[in-house]
Amino acid sequence: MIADESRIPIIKLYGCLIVSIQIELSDSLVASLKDDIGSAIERTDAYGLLIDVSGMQLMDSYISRTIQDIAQMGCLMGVETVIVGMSPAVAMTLAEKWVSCNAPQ
Amino acid sequence: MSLKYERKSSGEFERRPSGILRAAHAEPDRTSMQVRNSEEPVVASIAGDDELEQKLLRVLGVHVGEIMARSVMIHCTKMSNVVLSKLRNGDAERLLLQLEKGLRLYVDSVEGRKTCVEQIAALLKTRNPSSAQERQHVVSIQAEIDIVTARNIGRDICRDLGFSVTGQTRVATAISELARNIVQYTPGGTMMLASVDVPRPGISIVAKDTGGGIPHLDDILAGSYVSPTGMGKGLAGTRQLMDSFVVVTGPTGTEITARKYLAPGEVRRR
Repeated sequence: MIADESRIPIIKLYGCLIVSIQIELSDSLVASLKDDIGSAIERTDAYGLLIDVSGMQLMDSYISRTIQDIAQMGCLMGVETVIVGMSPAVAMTLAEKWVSCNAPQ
Repeated sequence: MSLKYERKSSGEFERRPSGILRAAHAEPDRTSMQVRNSEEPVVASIAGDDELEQKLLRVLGVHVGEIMARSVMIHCTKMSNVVLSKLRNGDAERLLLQLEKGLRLYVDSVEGRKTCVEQIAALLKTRNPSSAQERQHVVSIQAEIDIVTARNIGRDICRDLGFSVTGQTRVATAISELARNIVQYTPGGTMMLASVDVPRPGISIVAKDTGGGIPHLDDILAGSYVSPTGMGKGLAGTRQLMDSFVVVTGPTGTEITARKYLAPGEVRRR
């Protein structure tokens, strides 16, 4: 069950924003996450953004596109984005679908 | 509203907790017969699965009181369009969402609501194993939440079939793409998820919608089309992920049939 109001917390640690996605994402949650990260970058003086995707069991085109957007957005706002913890199953699925992974590291 | 009559195996009616019904019972036999007859069809349709309903009511009763429990249950089953005796996959989630909303009226504390919903979820789960044997699910795709429902069902089917985690993720991703297309571009549709045995064990996905068809299908499948919302490679990517992929599209709707078979030697690792 996914509650409509749930949000993903964004934690600031030293100069880094840490976002750990540990639940199944619905589309609206992805969209609000994007907004939240944007305003968090604006509010804080972070220079790094760490997105932990270890809890995600699935990344479809919309979710991966949004994460790519977030990284792009961070880049424009002077924040370096790193994506960590991708499960092999997700990585393999992404690799089979889309070959490129140029934007985020 | 007399939904309080339960036919015991002896054929007698028992359990009349509400005051109104006790009064009805106190009247001559003829009256109570009338009440019983007129209400019986309602009881049958709403409370077909007596045992499950009793269990749910008991749990609810602890939190909101016995009488309220019934009205909450009736309201929620009606609102979520769930028939307890014919619980299908996805029903439980819808019912729980509705219950969560309904409980806000009666239970003030967030913790209390959460415990109640969790207990009921556990009860519904014990009832759900029948869905594993059923092995064919039709999910109506209307809103965003249905995407999540559909891909979870797909993942469950794959797990039961013995797909590896990667295989499950592949299929769930494909389902997610197809379902999202329906939600984003069409007024609605359905998705049929079923396990197949021939030529090899696998899963079959049939996504049907009533939209206006897919324009530039060739470009999309070739991967040269870029959509504003996704990567523009949802369909092309899905085709890559599946073993067979057939698109039939026209001005009255689209039907996409995709299959993924269990690879020889593929074993489940959990």
